[in-house]
Amino acid sequence: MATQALPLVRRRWLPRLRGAGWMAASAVAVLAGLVLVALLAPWLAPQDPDAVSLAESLNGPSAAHPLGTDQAGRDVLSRLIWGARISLLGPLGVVVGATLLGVTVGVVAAWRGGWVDAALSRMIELIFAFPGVLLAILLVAVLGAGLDSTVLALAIAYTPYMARITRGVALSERNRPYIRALELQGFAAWGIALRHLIPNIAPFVLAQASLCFGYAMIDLAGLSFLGFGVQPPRSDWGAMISEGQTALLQGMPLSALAPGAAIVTAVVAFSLLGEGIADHVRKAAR
Amino acid sequence: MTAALVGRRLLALALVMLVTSFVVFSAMYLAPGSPESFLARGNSITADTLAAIRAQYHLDDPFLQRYLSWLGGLLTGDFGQSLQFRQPVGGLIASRLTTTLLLIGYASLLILISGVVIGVIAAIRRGVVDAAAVIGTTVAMGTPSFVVAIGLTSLFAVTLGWFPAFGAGEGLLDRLWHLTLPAVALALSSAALIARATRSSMLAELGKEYVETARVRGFSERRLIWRHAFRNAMAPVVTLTGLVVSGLLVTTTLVETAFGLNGMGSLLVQAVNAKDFPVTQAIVLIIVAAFAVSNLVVDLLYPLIDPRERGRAAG
Repeated sequence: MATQALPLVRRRWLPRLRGAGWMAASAVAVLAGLVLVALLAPWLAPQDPDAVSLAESLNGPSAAHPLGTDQAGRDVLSRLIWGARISLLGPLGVVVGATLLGVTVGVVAAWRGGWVDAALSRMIELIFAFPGVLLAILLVAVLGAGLDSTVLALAIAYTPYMARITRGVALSERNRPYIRALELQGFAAWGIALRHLIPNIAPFVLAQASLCFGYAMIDLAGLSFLGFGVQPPRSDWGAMISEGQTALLQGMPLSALAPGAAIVTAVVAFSLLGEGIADHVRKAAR
Repeated sequence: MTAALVGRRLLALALVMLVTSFVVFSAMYLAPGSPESFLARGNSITADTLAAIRAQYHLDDPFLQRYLSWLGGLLTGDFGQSLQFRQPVGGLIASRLTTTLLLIGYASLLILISGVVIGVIAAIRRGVVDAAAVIGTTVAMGTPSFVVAIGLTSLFAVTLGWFPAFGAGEGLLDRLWHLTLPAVALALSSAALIARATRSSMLAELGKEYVETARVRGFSERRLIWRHAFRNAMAPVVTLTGLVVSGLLVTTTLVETAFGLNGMGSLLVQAVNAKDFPVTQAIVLIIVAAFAVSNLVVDLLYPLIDPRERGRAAG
């Protein structure tokens, strides 16, 4: 599988990505940096992110604590670096889940047409009627707060966005002669879909997934801010903002503003990347 | 725009609400942890009291019967009893609704006015102004409401002391003063979105042939922009504003929590934390209904705003 996939990526995707412009390129650089920070957290973080030291509560920036300390005397920079992990993994879970579900639904709807398409389309419209964050709050009310409930709920809520775009491009791809030819040669439908159709529509799906990543990050951070997402002692950036609110009101805003800036940076980078890919894919398709 | 079309859309709306009510009710029904243990508040209670509580809240009836009686109650405006506050849910929500509606109305005005103004300016002043608008709106669109909220609080409430950091205030003027920072926090990313939509819509109109024709005929640039391009460009923007405003009903949850406002959104958060299911069910349903109704209204209004759509919608 890997031996087949790699040339595919190189042949089909890289040339398309290369022309995506400097905005997208700088977005990729920023995101790569964030992923590196998340991966290297144990080596990058100057302090233990969970080390409570009440004597050092709400200290300003210093050599030992470049971004100061929070209410419990924990090092803000170290918590920010460690928080990158959950803050990036959560949206990744949402987007991977929504993409798997959405691509399946979209391809099946486009391939089968008729009543299957009609039924799946109605279902998608129904989920559209439900705002994502509200669905997550409902699931938290039922299952209790936690990263799993919120990621699961948002994956379902984001499925329509992935399904709609997949169905659209899959419909036009489905009617291409090469698909007909493969069908006539007697290849199984799922085989054609998996090996030929999905790789060909992948750039469209990738563009949409990148846009969704940014929105998922906003939604998950918001849910954590409300206390519905990741639970203490673990924190993502959204939870850090909530923790830092008291300090902010006392005139020590860094422990809340620093994670806020991190969220904005990541979200803007993802939306620039998504738009860059989408622009390029649209141009290439013409 | 025929009566049949409106009827069909209303029927679809009723269906969506029916399915939603069923999903919401069964979700709460399946939730672990029973309501009576909440009502007992951890005290050990006698079997008689337990039976009385179960009877009072109809907890022993079969699922479908409970759903139907709850649904029947909704249709007559009876949302049940709040477990947490021990008062009717309808009255509880009504008492919180003023703040939320005022906040959303305030934010909607900010979104529409600033979004359209920035969008038009960006479209007619290409170059530095346009580039600044594009960069600014890109960042604003990526800034979550609660991040704006803490930024505004830190700058305008804590450091400068111009606005209060908490509470909703008394009387209209005081309320508007208290709600200014929350409204800006709620509005910012949506205003940026509207600005971008206005900008691209205006650019598309200004590039069309009829504008060039009018320019050649010697109409003033001001008349071209406002009387011709602007009027045609606004239809999609108004539609988008409708959708964006209905989305504020969810975002307001975060802003109300960040500013300690006693609105419907913060009530939802309290209800979820306290496992107060009747309140949670009611607010979720109200938000979904408002969402669906505003989408419908936007769809139905669209042909009225843009006469070119009339033939298409009817056909």
